[in-house]
Amino acid sequence: MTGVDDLDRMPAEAVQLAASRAEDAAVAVAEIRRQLASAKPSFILLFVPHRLQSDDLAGALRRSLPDAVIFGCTTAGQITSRGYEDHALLAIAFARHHFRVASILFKPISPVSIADVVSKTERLVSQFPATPGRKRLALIFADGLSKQEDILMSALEAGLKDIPVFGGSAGDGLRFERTQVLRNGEFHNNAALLLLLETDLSFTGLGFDHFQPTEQRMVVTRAVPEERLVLEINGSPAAQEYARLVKVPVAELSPTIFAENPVLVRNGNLYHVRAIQQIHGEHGLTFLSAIDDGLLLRLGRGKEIIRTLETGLAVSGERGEAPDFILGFDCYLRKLEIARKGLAGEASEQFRRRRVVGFSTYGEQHLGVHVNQTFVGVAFFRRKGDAPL
Amino acid sequence: MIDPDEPYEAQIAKQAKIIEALINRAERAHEVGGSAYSLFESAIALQAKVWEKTKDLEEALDTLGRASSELEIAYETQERIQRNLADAMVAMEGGFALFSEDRLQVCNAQFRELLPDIEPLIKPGLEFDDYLAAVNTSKYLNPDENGVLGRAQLLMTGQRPGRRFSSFVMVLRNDRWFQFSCRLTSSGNIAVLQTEVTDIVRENRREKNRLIDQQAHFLHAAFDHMSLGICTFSSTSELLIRNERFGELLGVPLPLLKKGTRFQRIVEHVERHEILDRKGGRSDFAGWFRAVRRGETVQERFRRRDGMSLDIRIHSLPDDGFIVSVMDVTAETQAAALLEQRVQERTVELTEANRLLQIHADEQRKIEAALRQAKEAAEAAHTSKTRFLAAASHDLLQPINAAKLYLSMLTERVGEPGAGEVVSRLNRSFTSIESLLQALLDISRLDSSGAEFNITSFELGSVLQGVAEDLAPLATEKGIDLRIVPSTRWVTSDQRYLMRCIQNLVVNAIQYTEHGRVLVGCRLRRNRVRIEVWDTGIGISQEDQARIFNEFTRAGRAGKSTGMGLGLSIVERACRHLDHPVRLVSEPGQGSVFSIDVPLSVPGRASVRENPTMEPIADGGLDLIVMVVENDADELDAMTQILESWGASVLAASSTAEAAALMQDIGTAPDILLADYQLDDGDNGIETIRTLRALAGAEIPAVIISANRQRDFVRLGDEVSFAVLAKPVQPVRLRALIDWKTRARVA
Repeated sequence: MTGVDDLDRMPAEAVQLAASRAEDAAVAVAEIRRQLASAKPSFILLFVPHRLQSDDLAGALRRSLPDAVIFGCTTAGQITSRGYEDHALLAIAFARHHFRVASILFKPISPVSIADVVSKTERLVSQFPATPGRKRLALIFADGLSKQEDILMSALEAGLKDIPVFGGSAGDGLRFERTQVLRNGEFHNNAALLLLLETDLSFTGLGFDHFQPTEQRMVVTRAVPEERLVLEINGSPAAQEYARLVKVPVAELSPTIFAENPVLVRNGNLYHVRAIQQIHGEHGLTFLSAIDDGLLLRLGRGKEIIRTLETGLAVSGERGEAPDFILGFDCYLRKLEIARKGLAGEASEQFRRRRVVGFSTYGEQHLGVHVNQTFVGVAFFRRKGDAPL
Repeated sequence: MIDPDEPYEAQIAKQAKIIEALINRAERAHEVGGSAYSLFESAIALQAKVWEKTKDLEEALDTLGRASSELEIAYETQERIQRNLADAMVAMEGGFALFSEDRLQVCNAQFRELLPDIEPLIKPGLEFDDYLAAVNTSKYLNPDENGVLGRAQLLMTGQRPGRRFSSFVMVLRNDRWFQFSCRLTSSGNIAVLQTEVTDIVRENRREKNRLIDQQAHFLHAAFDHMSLGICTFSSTSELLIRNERFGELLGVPLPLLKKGTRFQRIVEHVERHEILDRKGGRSDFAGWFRAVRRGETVQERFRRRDGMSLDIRIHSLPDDGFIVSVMDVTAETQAAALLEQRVQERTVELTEANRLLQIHADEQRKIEAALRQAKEAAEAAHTSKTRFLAAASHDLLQPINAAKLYLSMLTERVGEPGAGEVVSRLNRSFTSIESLLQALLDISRLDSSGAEFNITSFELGSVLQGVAEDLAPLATEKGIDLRIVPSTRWVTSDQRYLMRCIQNLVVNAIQYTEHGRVLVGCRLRRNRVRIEVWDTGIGISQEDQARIFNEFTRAGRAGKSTGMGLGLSIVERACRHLDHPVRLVSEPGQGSVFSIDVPLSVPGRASVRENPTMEPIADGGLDLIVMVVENDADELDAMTQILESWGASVLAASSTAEAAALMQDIGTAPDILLADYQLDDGDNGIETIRTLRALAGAEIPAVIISANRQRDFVRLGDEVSFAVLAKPVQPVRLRALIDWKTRARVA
């Protein structure tokens, strides 16, 4: 390993990290507890690998860390101080000195009650005013299979007003079976967790993807928008037409193919990725974000993913300093593509170099929208005068 | 978009589906929908606006954050300053107190504890004036120094508003000294500082005492060391200090030199024992005292009985006492006498020297007069010699000429064999004498002060040619190869003398050359022409080279050849007068090179003069019509006759008008026109030329005949094109000019 100032060599000031690769939930929690023995956290974010049973984990947490304030979600992979991992239980303890937190659990979210979300959010914002000299931000963790993030985000935007919100949708490895959020030692399906944070650190949001549109266009001719399901493209069965356009036999369609050949929608001058989740039935395609009938899609073409990662993460504070840490929400499709291209090591090196921790998502929330196949993050910087030395 | 490989029907069906989907979507776009995708779209649209707002807010928060942190810094700074102040006050060595609005605000322990009896009073809130009053009455204060404090109080109470600072010294009973400084600060507070200065005061005191002792010691040592006798007296004339020398010089016994002895007693002792012998009777001591009291210095010179001279001075001192100094000036007096004697001796010597010098000067004047006379005599002698030589040479030549004539007659008449030989030798002797006299004549002419030269510009070629012609026979006779390289350079010189000089050099060269050759040539040296004469003769030794230009000097082995050595002497004189440098390079046995440098001049109009000499004159055959215009009838007639004798047809006219009429009568232009410049009634020859040329419409060749200087016409000649011939007209030249002017036409 090269001598970069990663989070192991030079630990962050505002958060303390713990990770366990144990297969047994109780063992993993015990290790986490031991590693965080000296921490005085305001709260802990826990990112759960898919191989740990959430029920086991919930029990272990109740037993081992009964007093800790713990939030989290299931994931499709983790970004620890070592970079990309698949089986690590990652705990991020946010220092009490720098953070305050309040939370709401929205459940159920399918369907979303927009009015409910807005009013609850507004109430929380008013009950949790910012201390002078500190700033607020919100984190959203939603059930990644709920297909409701788009609507949820719109409602949250309305309620949070000026407070920026960042988030990632809970994942389930590559199984797409059960995605859950964790609050107060309990895992919830069909739910979304909103954290309102107040911090004396300065922070800046970041989000980037690595696609540009090609000239290859297609039209959704039959869809079920509520289910993010596309049945026909260009009047042909969706999977078949997509396979023809990306020049791959239908039988070989896979998450990796979807990752490398995303479809984009245009809004003004911007293109957003509509990531394909999987094949539905015979020829249907389910998406990881909102789609609609009659939507004009374009095939996207990837740019150099490591280069975009490097430049996208290159943020610095007011005095040009490196961030204390970056909380990152990275789409699992990016990780798939990176792994297939054999770049996992390089990507992990970039994460370490830039002090990123976080998880692999089923979708990212940034600037009030739900997007796919992007990296969304929040970079935190130490206050003036708090620089180590 | 659609797979083109599919059948058309399928493609059309799909296209229909696409169109329908797009249309449906386009329609739905206007609905206020709650679909997930429309929410996504509207969120995207809002995104930019929200982002903008967020940035503004962040900036505002940043500013707020900065302000609050600055406030914090200010607060910290204030705390630190207060802490520092407290620390500083404790650390201060002296007492310190700050009175704000006349009341004590803070002070340190030293300030409180300085005067133990008033310590209980010193608490925050104490009025400044009360503090001063308390200090004033403190029993720890040295009562002798009360006045000082009183003054301080006055300063502080009475004049405080005007005063920013005052300072005084407090003396405590235990001989401790404090400087008490009050300073009005800019914010109207009074800062009081008590600084202990005991050490400084004591050190000053010690230093002062030490200095006084040291000075007294120095004074004694200095007194004792002096060769001067010194004694000081108090204002009551009692002896204070004296050195040993004082007693020695005045011969006063020691008992009288004790401290406290009155000055009067010492004076009496000196007088009684008649130690000092003063010219002019007794000294007036009373007068001295009065003078000293007035602050004057009294000085008197005495002689001791043993011959020693003493200077006594009395000088008042600042404390009304006086100082008496006695100096041995014997040596000085003697030296002065000696010096005076020397000066007198020297004066006598100088007077004598001066007298001698005057005699010398008189003699010199006489010598000068004599010299002047001698010079005049010499000049006169020279002049008369020159005159005599000239006359003598001239007069001598006449009889020689006659003698030669008779000799030639005699040669014809002598028949006796042997006598012919004698006559022939006689003839040669006379020829020698003649040439010798000719040379002497030249030299005398060159030596006489008014030697006249005729400096002109001329072509060197003709001169060299003349020399060649003259001397070729001589060279041939001697078997010498004489070569003269022709030159076309023009020079400024006297043509006659230059030719003579070259001739002499060549003759000389021939004479001293037994066999071989003599070469004459010219080189250009910047703006001069160097005429060189080379020979392969005997050469001239180094010591002879300077000598050979003298008269009658001949090289050793000249043999029996003719000449008396006057040739080079003439060259030297003539060239000196003409300012032509003459050089000689020679090596015995190798030959010699003589050279003359002559200034170069611009070439003149050579044609007029050259051509006549170059053209042989042909008699008759001048088959031309010549127009002659001349106002003088005699001259016109003479000219006409000459021209006709040459075979020309002459048209004679006396004015321009007549000439024009004549030409028109004949109906043809003349071949050449000869016109006198000066005609009657303002008419002139140039006018004639213009008129006739205008009438003829041709460039008739023309010659102006004029008594005026030729060069006056040079410019006009260029303009109108004519030749000029000077009066009196030489027929030879005229003929040549006519030939030359008309040749171009004929040819």
